[in-house]
Amino acid sequence: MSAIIQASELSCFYGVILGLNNVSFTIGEGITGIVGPNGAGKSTLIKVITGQVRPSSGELTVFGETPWNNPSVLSRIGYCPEHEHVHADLRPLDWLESLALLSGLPAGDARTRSEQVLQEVGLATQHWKKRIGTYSKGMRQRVKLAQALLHRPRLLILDEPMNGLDPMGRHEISDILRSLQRAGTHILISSHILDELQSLCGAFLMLNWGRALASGSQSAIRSEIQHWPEQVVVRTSRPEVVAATLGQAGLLRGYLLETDRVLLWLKDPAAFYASWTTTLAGCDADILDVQSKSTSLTSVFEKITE
Amino acid sequence: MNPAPPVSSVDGLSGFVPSAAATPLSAVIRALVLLRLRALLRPKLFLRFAGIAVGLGVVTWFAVPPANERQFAQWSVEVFLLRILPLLCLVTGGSALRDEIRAFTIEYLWTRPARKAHLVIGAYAGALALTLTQAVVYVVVIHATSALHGFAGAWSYLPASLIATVGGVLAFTAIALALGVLTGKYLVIGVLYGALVEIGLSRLPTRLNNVSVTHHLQTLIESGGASSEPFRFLGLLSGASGCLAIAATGLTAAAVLFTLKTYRIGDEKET
Repeated sequence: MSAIIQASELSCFYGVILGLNNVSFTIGEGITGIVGPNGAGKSTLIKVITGQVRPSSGELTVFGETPWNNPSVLSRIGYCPEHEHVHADLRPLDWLESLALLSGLPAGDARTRSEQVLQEVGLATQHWKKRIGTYSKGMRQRVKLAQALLHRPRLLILDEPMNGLDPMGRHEISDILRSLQRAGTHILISSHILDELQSLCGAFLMLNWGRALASGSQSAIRSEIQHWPEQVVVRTSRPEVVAATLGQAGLLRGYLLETDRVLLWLKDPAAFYASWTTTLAGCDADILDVQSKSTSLTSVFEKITE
Repeated sequence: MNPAPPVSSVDGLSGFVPSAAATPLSAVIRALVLLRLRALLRPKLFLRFAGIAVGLGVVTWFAVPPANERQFAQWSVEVFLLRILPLLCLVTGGSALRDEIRAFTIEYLWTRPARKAHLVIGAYAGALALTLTQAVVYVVVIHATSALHGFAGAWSYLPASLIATVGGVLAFTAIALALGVLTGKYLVIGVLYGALVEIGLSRLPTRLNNVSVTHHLQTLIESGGASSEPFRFLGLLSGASGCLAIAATGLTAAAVLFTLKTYRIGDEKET
């Protein structure tokens, strides 16, 4: 898998404010999610990748070139920012036509391509005559996505693209992104809706306080984490009995009892998974459901930012 | 589950192959002028534009007595050309890129494969188109109102006024654009600049007054009234080249600043 974005000891400061601190990572092909809480450095990183901000030190390359003041890189990037600000006084086609011209599309194609992308993002034609300022949040998100697709970028960068979308809208945007990926577009997406990233992304970059905590596939990140306290939820008629049985078998670091379930922190996940069926079979309780809690992206992220 | 759109619809841009080269300057200018003029076509802005034109007509009617050449010159040159026009340029030119930075919409422009210097030139062209359209209408309104009010000679001053207006818009808009690129407080800095350079330095009887646009506009206006043809030509040449030189300097400063500066959009923190 070839590298699309590479960062080496990248730092970015705004005066005394820390944006990114000595970050190194590689982002490959496909859909990659950037995960991190507010202030983690996600937006700063995206601004460096899109050539809006010059790194204070270190290096970041996109397609092997530095993006700052580099039209060669920018011609291959489509960017959909997080904020909702758009040219509210304009109609979507008028705005997109200007942006298409700026992206280097021939004057004759700019209008046609604008119509094409509005259809691709699912903005109904009856809304095309309205000014963007009158649009709902979800409709604006679609127009924002449309402007990023105008020039058929090889790398699409989306900062919180699901904000303001209803579940149906999120589903449709996810479908569009998958379709773009199949067409060969690489996608970098930041979102705080981790469950959606989990279903979309093949790899992740986890940031916190301006530092890269981990990168790679979700399973690779998990395997990198040492002392991983696997969490398992067992739904049962007698939570206290299950906890006591597993505790006596030496499999637990701790547990939390609830009415109809018990949350378990495992001492050794491998040992637990090798023996839990036989251990629990011997206890006097009905086992209704066993679910691993900590395989979700959310719990991986929670652990890594502890 | 909704079916995904066909790949061909995503990838179906006929005849366009993304180029690694920067977008040509002509396309950047076209894009930004279109963007600016389409914003003007809003009814609210158009009404404001028409309202100012009517207001100038009314003021001209009541402030300039009929057939009073001196008062006409004072109103059309001293007040409109040297005070109102620079303020108009300051607002339009200064906001050309600064409003995009404040409104976050600059992100849609500078993440395109266009050189930042070209974006500055495009924004300048957009501001020029907007300001020139308004300024020319205002000048014609002032001269037409005076002519209707009984000063028949008003029309004879129109060519010189229009030339000076074009020169003024070119120079003042470039300065305003540079101030807008430099700082969000471009209105304050612009007024200070006006007081120091355009009012202060322009009155000094030394060559230092060449840095003021006002000096060159006065030369352009005076050349329009010169009786001898060589003096008229030399005056025009001197005034026009002065305005163009200041415009070029302002535009270059704006392009360099915009290319080198890092903006943190929205919160106005810059490095």
